[in-house]
Formats: sequence, C-alpha cells, structure tokens
Amino acid sequence: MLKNVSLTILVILSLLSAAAAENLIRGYVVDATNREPLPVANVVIENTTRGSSTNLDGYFLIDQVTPNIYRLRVTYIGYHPKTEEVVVTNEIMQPITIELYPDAIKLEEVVVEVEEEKSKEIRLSPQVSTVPISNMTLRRLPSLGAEQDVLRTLQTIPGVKASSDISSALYVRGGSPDQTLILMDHNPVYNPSHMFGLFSTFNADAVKHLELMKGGFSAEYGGRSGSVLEVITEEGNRKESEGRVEIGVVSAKASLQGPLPNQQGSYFLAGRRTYMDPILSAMRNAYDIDLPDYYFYDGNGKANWDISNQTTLSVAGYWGSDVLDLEAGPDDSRIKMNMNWGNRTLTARLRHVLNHRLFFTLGASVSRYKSEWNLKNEEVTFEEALDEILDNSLKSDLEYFCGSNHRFKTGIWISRYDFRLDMGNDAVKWVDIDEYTYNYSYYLQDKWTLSPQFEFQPGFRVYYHEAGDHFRFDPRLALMYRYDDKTRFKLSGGAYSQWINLITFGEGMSNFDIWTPIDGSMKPTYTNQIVLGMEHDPRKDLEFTLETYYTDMHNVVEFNYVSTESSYEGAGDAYLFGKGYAYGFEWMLRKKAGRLNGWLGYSLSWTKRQFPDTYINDGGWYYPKWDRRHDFVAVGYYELNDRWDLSGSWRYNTGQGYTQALGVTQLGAAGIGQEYMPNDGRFPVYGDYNNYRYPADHRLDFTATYKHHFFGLPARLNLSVYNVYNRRSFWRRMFDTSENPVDIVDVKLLPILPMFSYEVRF
Amino acid sequence: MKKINMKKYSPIWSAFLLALSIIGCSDNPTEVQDYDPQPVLTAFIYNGQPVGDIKLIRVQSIYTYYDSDDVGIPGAEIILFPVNSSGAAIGDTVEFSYQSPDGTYSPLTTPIIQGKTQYRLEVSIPATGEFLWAETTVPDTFTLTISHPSLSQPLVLTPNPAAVDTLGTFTRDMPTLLFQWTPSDSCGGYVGNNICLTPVDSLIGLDPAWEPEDTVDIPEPSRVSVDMYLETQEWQEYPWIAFQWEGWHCYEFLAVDRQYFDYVFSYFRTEQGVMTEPVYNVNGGGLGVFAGCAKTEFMLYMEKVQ
Repeated sequence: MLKNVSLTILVILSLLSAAAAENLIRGYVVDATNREPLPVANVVIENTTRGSSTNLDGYFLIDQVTPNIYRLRVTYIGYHPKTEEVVVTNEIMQPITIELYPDAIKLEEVVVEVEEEKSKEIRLSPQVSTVPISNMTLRRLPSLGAEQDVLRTLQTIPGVKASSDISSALYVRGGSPDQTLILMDHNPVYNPSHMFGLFSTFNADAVKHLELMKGGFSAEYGGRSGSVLEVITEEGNRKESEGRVEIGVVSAKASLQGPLPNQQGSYFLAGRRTYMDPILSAMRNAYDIDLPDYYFYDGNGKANWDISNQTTLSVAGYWGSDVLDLEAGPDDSRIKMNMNWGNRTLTARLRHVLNHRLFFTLGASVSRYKSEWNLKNEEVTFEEALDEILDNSLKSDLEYFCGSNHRFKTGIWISRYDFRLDMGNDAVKWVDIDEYTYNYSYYLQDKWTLSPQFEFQPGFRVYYHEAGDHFRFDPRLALMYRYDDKTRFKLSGGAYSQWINLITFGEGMSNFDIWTPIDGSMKPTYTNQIVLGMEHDPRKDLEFTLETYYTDMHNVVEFNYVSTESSYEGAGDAYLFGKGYAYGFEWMLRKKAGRLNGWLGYSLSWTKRQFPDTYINDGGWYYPKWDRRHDFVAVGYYELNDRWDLSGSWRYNTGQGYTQALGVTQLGAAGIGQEYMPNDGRFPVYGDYNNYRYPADHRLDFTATYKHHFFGLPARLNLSVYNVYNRRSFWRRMFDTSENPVDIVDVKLLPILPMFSYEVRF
Repeated sequence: MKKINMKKYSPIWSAFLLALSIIGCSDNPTEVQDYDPQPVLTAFIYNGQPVGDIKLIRVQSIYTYYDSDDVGIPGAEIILFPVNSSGAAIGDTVEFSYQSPDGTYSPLTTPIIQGKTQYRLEVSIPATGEFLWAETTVPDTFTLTISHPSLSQPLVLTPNPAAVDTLGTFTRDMPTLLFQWTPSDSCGGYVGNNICLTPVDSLIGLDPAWEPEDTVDIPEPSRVSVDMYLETQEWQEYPWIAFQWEGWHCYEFLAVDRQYFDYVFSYFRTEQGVMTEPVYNVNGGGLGVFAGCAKTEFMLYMEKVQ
C-alpha cells in the first residue's frame, strides 16, 4: 500500500512539474578543493531577499526569475563566500556549479570582499534546535587524547550533557542515549562508542559534516523520540588523490581519497587502530600482573559513481570492533573472560534527478551491532552471552521543488529488525530470545516560505510496527517568523515515536549495551515536544540563539535488574516502564569567521522520571543521573599565525545527582552466621534516588597545533592537555562499610592528561 | 519594521539571564539532611525446623561507630502465624520476647515449620507507633545428589538430616563436583552458601602462589561465597575456583522463596553498582527480609596442593 502511494505521488508531481512554465536558476554548490557537495549552503540573489539553500546533495533552485543577469551570493560555514554571475534566459537553464574555498585557504580578494561587505544578507535558517558542525570545526577542537571526537565535541553544545568524563554518550534535553537517532550516511548506528564508551566510533577524518537536531526535528526523521544526529562521511576528492596519516597516543589512523577513473566519481577510505595491546602485553610480562589484552579498530569506506549527469550511486560502509581478553585469578585455576563487540554498516544510495524540480533517492542499508562475552574457568562456563541487533532497511525519498520558496519531501522507510539475546551457562539458558519484526513508516514534509517573514513546515509521519500490531501517527510542525534581516523567531514541535530501546549497564560498560526492538510484549516509547526559539545575528560572523523547550515522555524503559524469571515471554519481561518530562532554556553565541572562532553556551534544565509500582525509588519521581541544572561552556579556536593554531574549551556544570547513604544497618542471609557475613553484615541504607548533588565541576582542555612541513609534505603536530588545572570530576560516592564508622570515598575521574598526535598529508 | 537594538536592551537581557540563573538554583541539597532511622527486621524460617530467633534493629548514623551489640529495638510485639491464600490465620501464633540489646527476639513456643505453607510475621512497636509486616511461602523439601569420581557412590541429601554428612577431602586439581537436585515445590530459586570454617587469623590460601602477606592488608578476608540457581535449573558443575581457603567447608544448598531469591540477586547487583540497595520484602516503612527456606548441607575438607 505504501509503495502504491509513493508511485501515485511521483506521477502527480512529474505531471505538475512538466506543466509549469520555467524561468529559474539551479545548480550545485561544491567544495572547490575536492568537489564534494556542500549541504545547507545559502544561495541568495544579491540585493534581494530571494534565495534558497542547498539540499544534502548540494543542489539548489530559485524559480520565478525573469530573464536577466543576476549575481548570486553563496555562503557556507567554514568557507569563503562567493559571488557568481548568472544569466537567465527563456530556455530551461542547465545547472551551474559554484565552487567555494575553505577558510583554511586564504584568498586576498575574498578577505577584502568581506571587509567591504555592507549589504544586508538574509540567511535562510535551518530547522529549529539544529546545530551544524563542519569537519573543519571538528578537527580544530581539543579532545581527549588529542583525538578529535565527534560525540565529545557535541557534548560542548548547550542542551547536550555528558554523564561523566569517561562516557561519550549523548544525553540530549533530558533524553537517554537511545532517544537519539544516530545516522551515518543515512544508516542507523547502534553502539557509537569504542573503549567502553570513552571514544566514539566516528573517525573524525571520515566525517564531512554533521548536524545535531536537539529536538523538534522534521517528519523526515523518525524511529527515536528525542533527537537526531546525522553524520555524513567524506565523499572523496574528485580532482586529485590525497592521503593523511596520523599517529597519536591512543591510536594511529590513515585515510586515502581520490577520483575514480575518468573522474566519474570519487572514493574515500579511512582506518584506525589502537596499539594498546602490545603495550599491555609488555607490561604484563614485565610486572607479572593480570592486565587485559585490549584493542579496537574501525574503518570507513565510501565511493560515489556519477552514472550520468542525473544519477549518482554511492556506497558507504563502516566496520569496527573492540576486543578484550582477560585472564586472572590463582595460577592453578585461572578465570578467563573474552569479550568482543562492534558495528557493521553498509549503505547503497541512488540519487536521481528526475527533472529540474524532482529529486529521487532510493537507499538500502544494513546495520548490525553484535556483542559477545563469556566467563570461564578451566572446565566450567560461568556465563556466556550473545546480543545482536540486525537492521535491514529500504528507504525511498522524493524531493519536489515547487519553487525556490516551496519544497515537498516525502518517503517511505521499511525496516526489518532481527534481535537475538542468549544468556546462560553450561547448565541453563536463562534468556533465549530470537525474534524479528517489521516496521513501516511513511512521511510527508512541506517546507514553504509563505512570505519574506513567514516560513511554514508542516509534516507528519505514520508508522506500522508489526510486532504488537502498533500504529502511530506523529504530526510535526515548524514555524519561523523573520522579524527583520537579523532576527528570527521559531516554534517547532510534534509527536515522536520510538521502536527500539537500549538497556545500558552504566558508564564504562557500553560493551554490555543491549538494543531491543519493540515486540508484542511492549508499547513504544513516545514523546510530545515543543520548542520556542529566537535567533539574532548581530554581525555577519556572529549568531545568537535562545531556546526554551518542554518534552513529556511516555513508556520510557529501564532494565529490570531484579528480574529473575526463568522464562521470558518477550523482551518486555526484562523491562520496567515509566514516564518522564524535561524542560529547559538554552542560549548559544557562535562566532563563525575570522581568526577567532567558537561559541559560548549555557543551559538551564530539569528532567525527571518515574517508574510506578517498581523498586526504582519505590515508584516515586526522581532525577536521573544526567539531570544537571546549569551548564556553561566556552569553546574557542584561534589562528595565532601561519604556524600556530590554538584551541580550548572550558566547561562549568553544577553537580549530578547521586543517592546518598543516610545510615547503616546489618543485613542477614539465610544459613550464614553473622560472623561470616562480609563486614559483619553492615550495609548502607540509602535515601531517595539522586536526591543529593555532587559539587559543581569545571574543566579546561587545550590544544596547540604546529603547522609545518615534513620532508616537503604538510604536517601538523597537535599537543593537547586534557584537564589543564587537574580538577578531577566526581564520578561516584562510595560508602565503604569494611571500615567502622563507614568510610565515605569519592571516586574521581581523569586527571591532567597531556597527549600528542602527529599528522602528515600527502 | 522596527528593529531591535540589542545594545539598548542589553541590561534587560542581563537581568533576565541572571534571574533565570537564580530561579534555576539547585533544588537539591548538597549536604546530608536529617534522617529518621527506620527499623530493620531479619527473620528466616526453615522447612522441618523449629521456629528460631529473629532480629529487630534500628538503622544507625552513617557518621558514628556501629555497635552491633547496641542496635536493638526493645519492647516490640512480634507474632508469627501461618496464613491461607486470603491472608487469614490458619494455625497457632508464635509470640517473641526481647532477649538482648543486639536486637534478638526469641520465640516463646517453637512449632515446626511446614513446607508449602505461607507465613506472616507482624511487628508492632508501641513506643513509636510503627507497624511492620512481611510474608513468605516455605518451599517444599527436595533431594540433592552430589557426584564425584572419587566417591564410591553419589551422596544423596535431604533437608534436616540427623547429622551432617561429610563428602571427603579434595584438592583444586581434581575433577569438578556435580550437583543434581529434584525440583522443590513453591520455591523461587536455589541458593548455595559456601562457608569456610577456618578462623580468619588462620587462613591459608589454596592458590599455590598465595603468601601470608596477601591477607594482612585485607580487613576481613571473605570466607563465604554465594551461588544462585534459577528455579528451572536441576544441575550444576561446581568449579574448585569457588574454594579459596584450606580447611573445612560447609556447603549449604537451600531452596528459597521468590522474594529471598530476588533479595540475594539484587544484593549482587549492588556490588556491581547498578543498584544501591537490595530489594527488601518488609512492608510498613521498615527494611529487611523475611524468608522461608528448605536447607540441605554437607561438609568437605579442602587441601592445598603444594
């Protein structure tokens, strides 16, 4: 039924487009150095308010223009603006290609142009609560281990929280990590971290562009109830081959890119691997201590073929794995633990320009996350487990440019989720789930600039989820009012359904994360969101954003840690169900050009959850661990001179909640005398969940980059210091009852960590 | 159109942001608030055994020395009686009397606990008006069979034998023990307590690399390990790694009710850091556990391989 609807729409749109009289300007905006398309670039007819923005393929269209000569003003974050002259005749115009140069390349004429810029420029704004980050910004910011990290960079955006220094998981506007849909080249990624959550799976070298939609996202996206992170990987240099090698303290990485034969496309390859395993092995042998064997690796690949002027095929893949082996215990009876976990993704996407108004894409994707572990001793297996989620999806989208100010997008998405979870030992299997389900969704999204002041984006998304026979209708709406050429007011909201949930066992244990699709025993999580915002651009290079939001959450899930059922009717038996809400206020001041770039951001927020009739806080409302009241961040990148770049980030946040022990008692156990009980049976008695707060935290990170040449090749030495003034953040308060009175121990995290990496380009 | 002059209104913006900051001041305390300590009830009853002592104590301050000999709640009225599925009493009521400041209450009568029977325990504290209660269902008896190549025939155990059997002497390089058991009706799972009877100051590790200095810095080396088996499980190979010390060990194999099984399971979760407290089954504002069990046990001696 869904296929017939799409086909009907396609036919109607084709007829409509053919019937319209056409005077228009259209084309592509690309990176001049490698011809990669630049999405969301702004294209405006100079001295007018007429313009458009490019789609993900870099394509733009401005219609209803009379034959004449026009000057187009094209701008894009991180690139020098450009003015291009275009001649419009009565003939249908062939698409033009406008090349922009990155900021890193200095063009004297462009610098002069910026200084003389006096004209009022209307910037067509993106969706509300959307923060775009370019590869250039990503690579400039300091991070842990001198490794640029996508997720840790996003943790500096107002509204995005980190649960601790050792976690790269995203908690966006009160939502848990599974409420954020993470897409890499339009394909969901299920466990986006390495090294137990310390680093993200995204190799920054492979990332071209990313967008974080913190809330109120359009109907084009679905399947998660909170936010969306869209990561687009590099497509490769279409002009010439180039490569990059980087060695750091944690890992080494390399990338290679270039044009396909006859410049009919491009390719990009990148790989990364840690070398901790030989270091750990040497330490094991030298000190005769039980250290684990651990390493991770990942790789990205992408290829684009220009099948014709109208058709492009791209294929992208990711593969990554973490492996841990540990042997411990007495020499005569060793305990062995083996764990391995990782993602595999593969996406094929066909883009076809049906005509100058109609864009069609068809995509097929596979995403698999698998985690296995076992714990053995000589002849006995204590526990072994396998967890696997396999997501096979087919997607089709139609984008119709009714005009430069009106654009439809519609599509269908069919997914099959296969889920396996086996847990047991030699004698018994206590969890044995092997099931699959289909999820069908259809969306329609309209983007309409009704007048120079008003932009209107209604849409909806409908779902049918086979397991449980669930049907949901999610309306979406976004409104924008341009008060003047520098100020815009926005309102966005809707309903957001989620069809897959994550069980997580805490920070530092992301390898045990389990993704569970909704089956017949569960109801989908869903939220209702509303976001109100204001954007003001006091100068061309400054952007100020102010937003407030409210979200209510239904059927949120938490793993039932006490569930000891001997058999499970479905995944729902392992969960507890509850509700929650989140609200807050954020502002962000961003500087986008010049020698100094960066942003200041602040958020004030509350979030609460409740799991009625459960052991969690005795069924009462509580603050989850990611609830923090105030967050302030300052991020900056400064180009000191031709040799040195400096970057830094400073973050202040009020403390996370923790559960305080209020007293101590003695517990008993059947059959065990008190004298045999650990600590004489003494055990802390706790108050309400997270009803106390750690002290506030703040941290400064700094990176200095030295640009030079290594045997004639461009090279960079990155020197970074994580936690410059060594203020270690609180992670956990522990109550040690082996001491009497109780010893209250505050466990703190990472100290000052100087690191380096060295990069050579060829 | 009238344009907004940001500079003119910047004091207003600043005040607005400052006000929001004040409004958003943390509504959670950062220092420990006063706490009204709760009573804690601990009671275990065993299939085929007479009613034994129970404990009623009060939670103590986390900042002061915990004196386990002085935590009892005197003057409580405690009764135990069997009930039917509707909660109505169906047998004799046992009353308890206060024995010592460590919180021990002893039964005034000692009837034998019956399997497959639900019991209710009620505590009333007149001095404070507190009222606690808890219920448990006592599991039925079962048979535990232990096999090992060194045994001429498997050892077969049932709850409440006249004397505790001894399995023999073992070392960690021997084949593993095999436990097999018949299902116990009305149980929620099985728990194994592996208890080393050697005094703390005489412990010798079974690990060939163990040195006496290894336990010097440990305040209380653990002499107990607890195993758990689901109610559908009927056998388990028992690894020697579970035995840490040389000397006599008592292994207790218990069929327990569902609530006690969850209590022990959640206790392990607190050690993993995913929960803060075990799941108690005492109601009325108190903490603690009231559990019914059926228990078998045997002894064995672990010898260190030199």
